[in-house]
Amino acid sequence: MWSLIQYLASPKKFFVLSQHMLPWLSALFLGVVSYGIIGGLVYAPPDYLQGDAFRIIYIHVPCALLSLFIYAIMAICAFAGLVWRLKLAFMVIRLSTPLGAGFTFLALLTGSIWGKPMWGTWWIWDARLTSELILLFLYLGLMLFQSAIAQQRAGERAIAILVLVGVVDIPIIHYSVYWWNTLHQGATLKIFAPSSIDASMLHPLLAMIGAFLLYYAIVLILKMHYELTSGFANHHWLRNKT
Amino acid sequence: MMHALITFIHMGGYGGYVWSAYIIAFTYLGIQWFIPWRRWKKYTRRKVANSDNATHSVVLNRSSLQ
Repeated sequence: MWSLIQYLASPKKFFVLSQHMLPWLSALFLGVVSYGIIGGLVYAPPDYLQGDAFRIIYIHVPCALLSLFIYAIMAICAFAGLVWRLKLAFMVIRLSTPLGAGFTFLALLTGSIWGKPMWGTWWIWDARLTSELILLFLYLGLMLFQSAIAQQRAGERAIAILVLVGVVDIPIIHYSVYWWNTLHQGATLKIFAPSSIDASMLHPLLAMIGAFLLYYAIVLILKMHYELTSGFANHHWLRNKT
Repeated sequence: MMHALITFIHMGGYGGYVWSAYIIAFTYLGIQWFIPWRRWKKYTRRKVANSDNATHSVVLNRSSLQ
């Protein structure tokens, strides 16, 4: 495990590996997203209560999951960057922040679009929605902080500490539907118990979640390639790679 | 066929909500992918053009020395 982390933490090795992986990830993404879209929009039957409006789940749940997942990745990178001073870790934080903010905003927006026909309102100060909104503010705050700090090295460490402080919001978002009496429904997907939806609805949902995770990996790799080439332009291992 | 398509788009009366959510989401995803991809492509084209110019100037210099 440690040797894998060391391998990935090397800018040169990461660049070479990700260059080889990118076409495969892209092909896999196209296949999985096609399965998810067709399965979710065409083959999944309408919900007995919500009708066809439930199909927003195939966008909303992956976006919400990604908003939490990206922050968790940033928190892991913040810890790795502070403890082991890994340059790539700080780069991942810097490049993931706008992506995470975008997915959080999409989760709130699609949730709002879903909530209007189902709950009769675009917004409610529910525990889940409020904590997700706080996550959006955390992301926006990190982006503003990144642009405000002039000195990169000191700024990276400060941002990493800020990310670690904000990670407390992640379990609050996840457990909010259990801790408080919320309008938002409970978890659809469970790790240690059967899911509360039928397989015909579940499989496209899992496919869309996988597609969104692949999408995040692809866009992050594209952004990191550009950062690495502009930051390490004169390094010998990069001269022949582009 | 047309009736099936209209039923599909109508989404039991929720078509406006469902399709607006999908369109907004995929537009965002498309833009979020396109911007770094285009930047990367421009960078690689510029790099190839610069290395071609460097090779060309080396060839010119050598031919002028002969």
